[in-house]
Amino acid sequence: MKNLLMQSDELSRRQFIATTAKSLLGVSVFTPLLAKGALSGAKETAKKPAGPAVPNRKPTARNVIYLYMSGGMSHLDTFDPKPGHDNAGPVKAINTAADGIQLSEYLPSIAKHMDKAAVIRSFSTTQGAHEQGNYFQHTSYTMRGTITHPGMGAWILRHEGRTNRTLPGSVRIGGGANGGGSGFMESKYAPLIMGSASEGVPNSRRQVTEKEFNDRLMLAQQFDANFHAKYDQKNVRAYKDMYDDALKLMKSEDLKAFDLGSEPQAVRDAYGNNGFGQGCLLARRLVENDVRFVEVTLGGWDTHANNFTSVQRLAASLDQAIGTLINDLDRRGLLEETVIALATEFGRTPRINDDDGRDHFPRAFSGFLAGGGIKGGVAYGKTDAGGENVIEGKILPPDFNATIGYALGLPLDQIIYSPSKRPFTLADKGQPIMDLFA
Amino acid sequence: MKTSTFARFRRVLASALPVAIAGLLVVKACAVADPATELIDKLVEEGLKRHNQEPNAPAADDVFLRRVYLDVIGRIPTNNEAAEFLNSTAPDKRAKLIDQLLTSEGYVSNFYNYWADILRIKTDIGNGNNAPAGAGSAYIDWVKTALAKNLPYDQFVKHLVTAEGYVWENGAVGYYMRDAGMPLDNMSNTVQIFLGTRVVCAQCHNHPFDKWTQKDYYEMAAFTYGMETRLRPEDLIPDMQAKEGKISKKQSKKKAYMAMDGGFRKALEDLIEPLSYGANHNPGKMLKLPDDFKYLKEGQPSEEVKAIPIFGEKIGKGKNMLENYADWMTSNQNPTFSVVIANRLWKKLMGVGLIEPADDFKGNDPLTLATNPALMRHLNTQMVANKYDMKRYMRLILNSRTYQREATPKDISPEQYYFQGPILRRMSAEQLWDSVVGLVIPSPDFRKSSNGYKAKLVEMKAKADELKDKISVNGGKQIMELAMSIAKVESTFEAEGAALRKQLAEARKKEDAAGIKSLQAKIEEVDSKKFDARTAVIKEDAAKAAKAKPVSTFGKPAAPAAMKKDDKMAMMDDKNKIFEVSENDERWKGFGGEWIRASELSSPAPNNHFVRMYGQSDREIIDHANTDASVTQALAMLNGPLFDQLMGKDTILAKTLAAAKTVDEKRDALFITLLSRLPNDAEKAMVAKQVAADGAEMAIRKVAWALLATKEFIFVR
Repeated sequence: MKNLLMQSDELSRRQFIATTAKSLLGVSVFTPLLAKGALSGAKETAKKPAGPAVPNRKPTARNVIYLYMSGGMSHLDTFDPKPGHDNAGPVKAINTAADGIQLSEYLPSIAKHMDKAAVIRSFSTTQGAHEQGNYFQHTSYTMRGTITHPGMGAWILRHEGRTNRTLPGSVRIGGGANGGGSGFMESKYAPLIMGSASEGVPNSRRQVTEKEFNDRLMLAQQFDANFHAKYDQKNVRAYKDMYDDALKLMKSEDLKAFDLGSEPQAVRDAYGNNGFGQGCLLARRLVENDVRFVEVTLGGWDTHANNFTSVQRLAASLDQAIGTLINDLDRRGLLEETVIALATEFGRTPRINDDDGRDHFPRAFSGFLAGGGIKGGVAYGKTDAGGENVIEGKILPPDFNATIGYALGLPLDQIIYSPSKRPFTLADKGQPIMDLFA
Repeated sequence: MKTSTFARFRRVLASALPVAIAGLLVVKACAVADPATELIDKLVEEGLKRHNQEPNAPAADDVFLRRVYLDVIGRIPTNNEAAEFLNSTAPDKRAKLIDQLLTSEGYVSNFYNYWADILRIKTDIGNGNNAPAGAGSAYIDWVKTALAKNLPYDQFVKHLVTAEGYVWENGAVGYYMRDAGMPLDNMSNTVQIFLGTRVVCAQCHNHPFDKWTQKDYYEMAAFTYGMETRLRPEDLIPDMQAKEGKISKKQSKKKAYMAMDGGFRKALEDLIEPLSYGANHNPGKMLKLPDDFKYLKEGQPSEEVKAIPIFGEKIGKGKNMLENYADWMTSNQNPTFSVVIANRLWKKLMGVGLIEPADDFKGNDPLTLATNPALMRHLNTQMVANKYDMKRYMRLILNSRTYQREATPKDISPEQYYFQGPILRRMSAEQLWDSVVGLVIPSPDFRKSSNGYKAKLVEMKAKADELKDKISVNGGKQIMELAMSIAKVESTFEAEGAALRKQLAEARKKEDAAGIKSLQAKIEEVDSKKFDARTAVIKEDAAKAAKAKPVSTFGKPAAPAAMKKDDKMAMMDDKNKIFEVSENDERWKGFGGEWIRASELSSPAPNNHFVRMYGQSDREIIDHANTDASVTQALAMLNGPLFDQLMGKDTILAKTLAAAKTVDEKRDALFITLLSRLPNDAEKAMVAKQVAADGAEMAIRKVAWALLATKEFIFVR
């Protein structure tokens, strides 16, 4: 928790920025920075039902960088190679830094870090369509017509609040908004959605001269004087505060976290000059600035045709970005407090289809975890010789999310009620994979 | 318990009827108020007196003008519209304006947005539901058409919950397609929306605080459980049974079908695909209690349940289960149906309901929940007496003194609010966007989007008709034979392909690059031969059919003449007249396609769209829109491109400013256009000061920006 201590020096500056900022980017006041653990469970959360408290261990991680492989990543060609089997196609396996663990030849950089990471080869899901699979993976609940469930970012904020109060509590880069939003929770728990890493916070720069800017604001205030005097209401005040907050944010030092231009070109290149690579770099910068949950999406995994050409290309971006990210976080002392988690909606059919492709395969697939207290050099679970069935340690998406929640020290059993008074927990009935913790 | 609530309600209804009849005699718009409107005001004022409260002062013309435009047609009035009303000296000008707005085009946009949020309407209804492209658009058009025609609310609901047929003949099937694969959730939503009753907890267990048991839930769900939104071959082809001879009564049709040859099934499904895009109620599909059902006194796990309404009596004597369901739901005897809509529309206009939440009555007699039961009773009576005519009903409220008062200045709590006047509301995201659109383009209410879905539907219909023709001959024998021929010719190529693929796997193992390449080419060749063979079989079959039956419509291109006009189709044709496609219209030449009202955008609008930023519903949950402030909104206003777009060349706002000659005229034009009122003396002085400092042009720019950024602009007084 080195970083955590460092931050206490900055606390006064942050507090200065945040004291009057009640709802920055839609998020309002939360538990103080250092109260984590000591005061676990913000006062906003619902009362815990009577019963024995789950022995939540001390958190091993503070932040999550969640890498989502959209479209359904082929497990055989990445984290669960099957050399010599017909199903393998042309893909070979290579040795890694961890004894006895092989990865696909497409992932040479990750292989070098395998001693610091865990692969999960026993993922299984009940959902075989993209939207439903994506939703289940992100929320731990299957899609319903009567409710939407929040994603991990919203749960973290709901339970513990933001750490950096001028920046959004969670950020989603390059993905859609399907699954993983604020769900039934208030919109202030929703992630800031960025189409790409390089676009920065939308509209955060002044477009006119300072004088014009200030005159406009002053006039608006004057024209509103009567209105404010007459209608002293909560939502009217909220709009007034919102402008104050926006002005503060525009002047905030923390906004620089979003500026990839301030990274040396060599670092930018190391992550890969593509959306995903730059997204991972931004994720690191945000995590460094106490944004606790950053999701980066790599799309294109729906390889029904020409699987091997596409996977090779996608895996190259993936491998470069993750390899660099692990290095970079490690060097900055952030790896021990940041979980890198990789997931996808389902795997792909081990048998190669007529179009040299692979189709949807919910029965067995793979995931990946590193950092934040996750044991390195672990291959958790197993599929059979052809990668068609999980034969050991089967887990479902809720278990994966419970594992992340456990690493963060979040109360997995704490019930939060939806406005319709239905009870929900962070990972539904998911159980953390204890074998992944030292 | 259930029946007692019900009986009590019936008595209440009966006692209120004489008033209802009086209300029917609607006096033509004039200064003399309708007696039903008078009674609204009387009951509100009595309620206020009981709680020692005074009503708010009457709203001035400018306040009323802006509010009624937003409430009825969903945008602020234009400069001309505002001037026309404010300058009029007619004593009945408010009543006239109300009537004019209720019959105008903008009404449809505004109320479509309202219902789209409640019904969770999505343009892309597909999401893995196997609905065809265009199903969502057809549903959207159906709702807009119903609103344009002022379809009575009970009919509206009935059409939705009994919707069957093909997408192109009945857009209302979108109601079930939206929840395809989730029949239990669909029922929960239906009773929440139309009956103000939430039963969702009972889906999984008997709830300690709810009156509905899990068994009640399942019995209710049994009505619509048989709704199928993807028609299957074994249901579509009558001869399937005879032909194969395999299907016994014991074996389900589906099981038997699935046992048939895979190649045949694939060929058949491809052939009849256009026929599968519909909704169909299959009464034989029985709902069973869950296999972990715990309440053994009430029923056994996996036991089939009968359809029984969740409250009230089963009164439907209709032709089938769906009709019974709809009849029961929309009956005047149903204890909540009319109250829900009477309360909802009151809330839409006043900002808060007499009953809150408006869709969670918790199984109570709704009148006991209302903050003013006598008023709720009167409004309910009017809803029924006006035969669920939503416009007539809202007209009564809009003409009331109560609606036409100033907005209440302080925060209120709904359970203790007795309607001193409407409450202050932030504009909905759609109202805000539509007001902005009105500052840019002329005739904003008439500019419609066209996503080409109608052409798609016409094409699908033509294909489906052709297939129906085929199936109608010999019970589908011909099409079954065709599928078999296809399967047969394809099977030889398939064997060849399989052999090649095996070789390919070997070549890959050996890393024989040249071998892989040549095998891949061979496989491609076999595949294309397979495709050609299939095409040839289909052509041959078509030729045979044409010979055998020269008068058939088969083979002709899709022509409008081929479309039979049943009732539902006629509704769509009619609609074409109302919403003409307006891509090349002179009025909007030079304006980008993005300047259309929210009702014409996709539903929901894309994530990064203005309306989403201001809280448009994601259309995932009932009533999911919000009016929360967020910093992203402020940043967009402060630094976003919107203002420059509004002041751009040829926008309505720019033209209005250009037409005003002096600085004072420009100032007044800005106030009228943006706030629907003239500036007061203090404001005039502020503008004058700015003009002195900056010169006219820059000062006016700053004033325009400032007015847009005021709270007065985005709140409805």
